[in-house]
Amino acid sequence: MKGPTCEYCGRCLSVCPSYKHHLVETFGPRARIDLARAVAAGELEPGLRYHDAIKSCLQCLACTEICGKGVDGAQIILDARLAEGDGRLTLKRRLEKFVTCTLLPRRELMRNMIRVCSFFQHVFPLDTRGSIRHLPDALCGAAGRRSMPDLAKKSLFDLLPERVMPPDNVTQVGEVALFTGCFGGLVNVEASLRLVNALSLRGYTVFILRAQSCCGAPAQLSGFKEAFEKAQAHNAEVFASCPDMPVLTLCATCHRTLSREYGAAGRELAGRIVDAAVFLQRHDERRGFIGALPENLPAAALLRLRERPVTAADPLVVAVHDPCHFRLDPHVGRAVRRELAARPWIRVVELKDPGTCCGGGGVSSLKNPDIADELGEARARAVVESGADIVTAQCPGCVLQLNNHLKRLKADARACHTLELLGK
Amino acid sequence: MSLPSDIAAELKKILGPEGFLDSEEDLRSFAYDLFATHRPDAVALPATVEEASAVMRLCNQRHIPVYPRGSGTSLAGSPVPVLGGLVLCSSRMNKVLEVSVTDRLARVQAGCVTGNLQKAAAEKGLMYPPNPTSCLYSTIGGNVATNAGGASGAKYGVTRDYLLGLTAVLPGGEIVHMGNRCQKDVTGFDLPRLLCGSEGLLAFIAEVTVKLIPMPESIRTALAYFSDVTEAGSVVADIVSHRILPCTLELMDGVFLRTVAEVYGVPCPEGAGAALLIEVDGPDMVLEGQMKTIEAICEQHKAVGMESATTEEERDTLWKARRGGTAALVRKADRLVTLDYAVPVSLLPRALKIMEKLAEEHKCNVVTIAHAADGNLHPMVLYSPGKPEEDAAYEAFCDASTRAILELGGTISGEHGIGLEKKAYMPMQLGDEQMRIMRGICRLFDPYGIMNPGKLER
Repeated sequence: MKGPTCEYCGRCLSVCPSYKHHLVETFGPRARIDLARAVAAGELEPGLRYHDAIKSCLQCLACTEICGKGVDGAQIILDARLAEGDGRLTLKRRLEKFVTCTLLPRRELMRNMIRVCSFFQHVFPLDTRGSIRHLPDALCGAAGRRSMPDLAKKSLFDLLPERVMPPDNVTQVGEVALFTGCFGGLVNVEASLRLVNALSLRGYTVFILRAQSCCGAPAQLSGFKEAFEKAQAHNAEVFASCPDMPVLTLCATCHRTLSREYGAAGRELAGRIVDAAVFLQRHDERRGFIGALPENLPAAALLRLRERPVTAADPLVVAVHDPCHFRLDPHVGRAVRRELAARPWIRVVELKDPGTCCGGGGVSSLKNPDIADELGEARARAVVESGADIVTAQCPGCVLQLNNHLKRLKADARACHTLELLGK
Repeated sequence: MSLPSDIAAELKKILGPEGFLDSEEDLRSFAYDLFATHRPDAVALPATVEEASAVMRLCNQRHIPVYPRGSGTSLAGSPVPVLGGLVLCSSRMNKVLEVSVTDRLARVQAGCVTGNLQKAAAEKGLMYPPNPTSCLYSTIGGNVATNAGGASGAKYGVTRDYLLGLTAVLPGGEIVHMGNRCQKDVTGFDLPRLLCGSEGLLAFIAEVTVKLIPMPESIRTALAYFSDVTEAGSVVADIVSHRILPCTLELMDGVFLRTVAEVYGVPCPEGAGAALLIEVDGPDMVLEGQMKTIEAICEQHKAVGMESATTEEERDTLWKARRGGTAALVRKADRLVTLDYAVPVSLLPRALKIMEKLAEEHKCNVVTIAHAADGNLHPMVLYSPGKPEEDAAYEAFCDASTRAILELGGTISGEHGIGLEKKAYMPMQLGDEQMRIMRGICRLFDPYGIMNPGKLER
């Protein structure tokens, strides 16, 4: 096993959400690292308990961040999942494999399925409180209280051409490619649309390559190595057709996977990955571009709350939730706060315990619904305590999770993707 | 080895499937601390005092070794189940039961993480001062069992100084409430404080009542650099002689400072061979004068550089050297072992000099830091285990430094405890009579010797 050796100090126990839930050492990073090492060295025959321990990790990267020795616990656990491979193919595991390895990589099939689902979803009346509709609520009851997103009628690829040019009255300053991710491209395209709009207004030509596929994170996080490597090779090949330009992401998990997890096959692509909000912030800081007070009040228009108008004197109160998958890139959080704070109609407030996991990122809410529920509720309460009108995150998983729990708490605050505000 | 099947079945009945673990993966996970590893035969995770009591009664009847454990963050091997048997872990008993502002106390279950107790107290404007480096992940039960200290020991004392009472489960299963909620109590022997520092040899600690104090109004921080550790050591003695008791007085040697400069780019003044991180806390109006006196003392001792902080942000920058230094060293070495000794403050400069000399003599890479105001020094040995000559040098340095500290009139452990690490040296410090009394006390609490066997020779 590569990298520094764990010294068993136990510091990682202080930040692991899974350990704090179970209160059993076996479900903490120190034990997972030790067990993974023992299995890799042939000292331990992996049993059901090993599988449970490895599976219970949320991949929030908190153990990696806190380790004084520099042990990358999250990566060791991820490697252990990949080494375990298919494992015991129970019905649940077969379903997981079908979704992550067969369904997600097939963009066209996914697009059609979502369109059909979206039609049925829209048959039912809108929930007056916001983005969750009755059908998803009913479905989420069946799926163990997990919420389903509001599905877009048309995918981003149906709405926009492969190449979006800046308007005629704007000087062209460069070219960027967009890695939409499954969510931003197919499921909820609002943030992607606003991003493309913001980029165009700043003079960028945006390439939205139709052939792009899932980044492979669901397959990798679930331990399906072959599907992950396929996704890597596929995306590397697709984005090779847009060489020498930044590739922007809208999702922290996609960002982590593309920039940190892609190996030799995807190294060139990995080097070009930039978070879209950070890209906008860097542009605006360099060239200056601050949106005036929008006519369309963002809170009212986007989220149907906050009746009083948003003004510079009475700004929209925005809290920033930092997605776990940016934990090792702290500059992202700083850039987003600066970019939000630069808008006169926004006042940024901090949530207590910054960096705490909400349980919604990656596939954690599917693999560990109980922990995800506990974390989601705690984070939603932190949003309420902060007095924010809106909490933003650059991760569709976090946004979905926070909205779900804010709604359960009957809170007025809502969550939205950071780009839905920055793109104004 | 595994437990006899009837005992395992009985334990499962007492604890339920979540509280009794015996899979290979679980046994491996409860085998270690920072110093040693040994696989237990089973693990018990009681959720209540009553469950812990039933487990202890059964183990006592069947003479099964019991190893109490909190988070397993000991540096001395204290909770490691060297003879197999049962690990009795308090992690599921983790609640803060009460914080009383009027009675100035908190009642917590043993598995409560010390940082959580501090947070609960702080929410009511109170402070639980003992502050071991591991306070965010070690448990209060473990802190009591080892009488944990930390960086603020000189001013605020250690765990024992805050212990008002505890609920202990004796090996026979008896649940005994020792001490009480009174701030003063001279009735009978002070049994809670006897159990404090007993390293799991006498009983399982299930619940703890601790004294709290009002949160200090402000804190001031300064970082001063000196030419060598002896000079820095003299500054410590001088500050204390001026009747100032800093809440932090951390000493760092030259190697430590150079590592920080190398890894983090934190500049270190020319000619600096040691540094002192000094903090005073209390009413704002008093601190101004105290800091002026401290600055004057540092100047008298020819400080080669000095920075001070009044805001939390500035304070964080100054602490970066101390916190980041340990992390930087840990990353540089295959293994870093932190040793733990304490000497009277007046002898600290000599002790530091001896450590330097011994490191050179044994060709060992040693970096020393100290909680200087209470004379507690931590030589940190960096080496690569598995290389025979480095292993031998490490062993030789540990042996020589321990003996040198004893000769100097110091103690072989200021805060980490004895465990397995210093077990052979304890009789040298305490002598036959004290060892006999300790063994007698062990027999009184634990006639069958089931509590943490393999540590103290009985």
